[in-house]
Amino acid sequence: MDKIIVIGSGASGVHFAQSVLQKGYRVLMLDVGFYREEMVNPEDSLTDLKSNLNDPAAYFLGKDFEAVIYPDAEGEYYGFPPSKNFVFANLKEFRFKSRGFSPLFSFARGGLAEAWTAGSYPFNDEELEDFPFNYQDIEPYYNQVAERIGIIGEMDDLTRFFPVHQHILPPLKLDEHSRVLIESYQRKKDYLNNKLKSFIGRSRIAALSEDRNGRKGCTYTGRCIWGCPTGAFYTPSLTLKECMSNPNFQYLPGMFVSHFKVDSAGKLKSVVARSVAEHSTREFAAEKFVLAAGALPSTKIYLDTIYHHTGEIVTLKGLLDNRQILVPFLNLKMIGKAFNPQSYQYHQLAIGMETGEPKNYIHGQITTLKTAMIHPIIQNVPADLKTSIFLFRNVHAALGVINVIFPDFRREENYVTLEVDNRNGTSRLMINYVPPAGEKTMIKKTIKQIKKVLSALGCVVPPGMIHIRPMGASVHYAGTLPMCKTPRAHTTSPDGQSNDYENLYFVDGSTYPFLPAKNLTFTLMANAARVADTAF
Amino acid sequence: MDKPTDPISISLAEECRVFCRYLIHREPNDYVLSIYKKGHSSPGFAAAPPPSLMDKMLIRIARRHPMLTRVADAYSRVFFKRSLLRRKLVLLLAILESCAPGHYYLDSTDGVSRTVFFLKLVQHSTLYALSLVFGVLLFLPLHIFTRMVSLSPSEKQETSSMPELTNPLNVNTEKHG
Repeated sequence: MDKIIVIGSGASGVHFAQSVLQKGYRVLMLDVGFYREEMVNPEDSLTDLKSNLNDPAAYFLGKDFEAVIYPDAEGEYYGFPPSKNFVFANLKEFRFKSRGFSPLFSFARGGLAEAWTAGSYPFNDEELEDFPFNYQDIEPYYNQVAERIGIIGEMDDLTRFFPVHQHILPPLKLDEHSRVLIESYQRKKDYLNNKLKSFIGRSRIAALSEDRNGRKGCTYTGRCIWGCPTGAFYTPSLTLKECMSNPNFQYLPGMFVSHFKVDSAGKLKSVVARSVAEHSTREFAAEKFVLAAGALPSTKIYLDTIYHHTGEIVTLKGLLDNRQILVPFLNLKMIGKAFNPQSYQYHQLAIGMETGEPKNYIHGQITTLKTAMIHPIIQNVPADLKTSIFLFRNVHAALGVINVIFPDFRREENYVTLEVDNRNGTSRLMINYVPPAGEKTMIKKTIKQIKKVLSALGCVVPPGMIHIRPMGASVHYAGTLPMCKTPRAHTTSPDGQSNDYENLYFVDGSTYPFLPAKNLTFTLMANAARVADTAF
Repeated sequence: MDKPTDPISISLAEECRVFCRYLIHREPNDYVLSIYKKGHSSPGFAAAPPPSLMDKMLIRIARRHPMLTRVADAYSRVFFKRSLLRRKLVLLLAILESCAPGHYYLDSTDGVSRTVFFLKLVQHSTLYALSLVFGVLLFLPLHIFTRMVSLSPSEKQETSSMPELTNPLNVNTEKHG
């Protein structure tokens, strides 16, 4: 069997690798591969850690107190704990410049999804309209990935938006606040469904509610944000670990891939990588190459390859990303109640909003506040800290946030290209993003609708607290090398094969021709498994 | 744990005790004291501009008694959000929520009915308003005076910079990596 080189160990890369390994291929995976430290006290709950660790402040705030958010902090707050620093650790070899876009990059073992919130929603036929395949074509791979990673969910009012694939496990226990919200929804269902076209139900999440394939079901330690100690919460590094047990799989970390070398026939002959530790350059030859480094890093490797091959600097139009809005709320029924830290920490409920046009479906993830760090919130209450602490302690269990996600369509004005420094031959990725016309109106309308929904559920939105996140914050990047049925330059075939280099394949978000208002990771994994099956 | 002997450590320890009583009504343990001191030399804390005269005066008064801390904090919240005092209080709050026993207080509720909660909220808000009035009377003349004497870099920032995402729809930021 041919040897395949896969670049990147994120959600797409590991599921592609697992599928081709099952077919008997030999795989070499090149990756920078920053990795997390061992889980501390895996049996402890989050509350136990605060008492049992020798230096809890180092764990929760970081050795350099990097997780402390001071009043003069600027930029987007993501709330990533120190234990996930490895996910977004900088790599000086990767250079970029962006306008209207604040990207996050990961060079971690497992990629960006090592810090995801596990929302796993299949795209439906309307959302796949611009793709060169339909739901029926990708469904077997949704099934396959669901079986591999474990997805929990329920057949409820959200099923109208999320196709029902196989291997959906029973959901986790609801935390009290989520339970109160869903009960309120049941009482106001007619009004919410018919008047506000809004539907609420259980999130589909890549987590285990029961023991499966050597992984323990969720034990409700409350440590989801800091890193699940039992493996109940899925991250791609778990699949990477499985791949590593296959003798045909070789994982080579510490390698930053810059570009491919092209032979005289226009085929890729090798990949050029720089050893991060030794600062030396190495070349790896193979028959086929698969880019799975994430939409933007993969695009940079592709652009650098063209530049090294022809001297041409190409501009790729159609960059996609989901706009997100954070709508915090206070549930009046929960005021004064205690919160339970020993519960699942990310969103357990989701909201779907019809807009009249199925592709414009708007999705929201409803997260009730539990164990996230509180000092970044408390200091923003418009009062002295003593009053703020009193208020916060008594409304902690009543707080929540809806992360509203909007779809994105490929547009000419959003592009990526290279800027090359001719003095030393280095390049950086240039990213430009302009929001669509009419976005302000759409956001305003959606916020109004969300406020009405929350009001019907007995919640209020604190004034001035809605936050429109900058583009790039969703980390759902896609669309630079779209899949299409008719071959064109700088596109890929329906099977992710480059229309410019025949032995190059893309399995990450770069090939999406459209980005629905849903977390894209589950589809990334399913599509990677699909490409592995149909093209290899 | 050894008791601190150098003057800076002693004053930080005293300040930590007062601030801790202000925030969670109890004395800090040795661990909190040592981490509070360590936090002052962390890169994030040290990244602040050098303390201005107003910063120094706020802290000097705030560390005398928890009631004065409240007055200084109330004033800072409205008129000097990026003050060194707020940084110190936020650092301490972050430490307290990370370890026992501070997190027990911060993670618990008062267990009162909604009516009692709202009554207590009125009481807290009234005390906050009073603290703010005292703060204005005490600190505003000093603040104006110190700003006339010298505009420190931190205060310049306070008056000239807008939060990065005030109007994110018009985002046109340039990022480099």
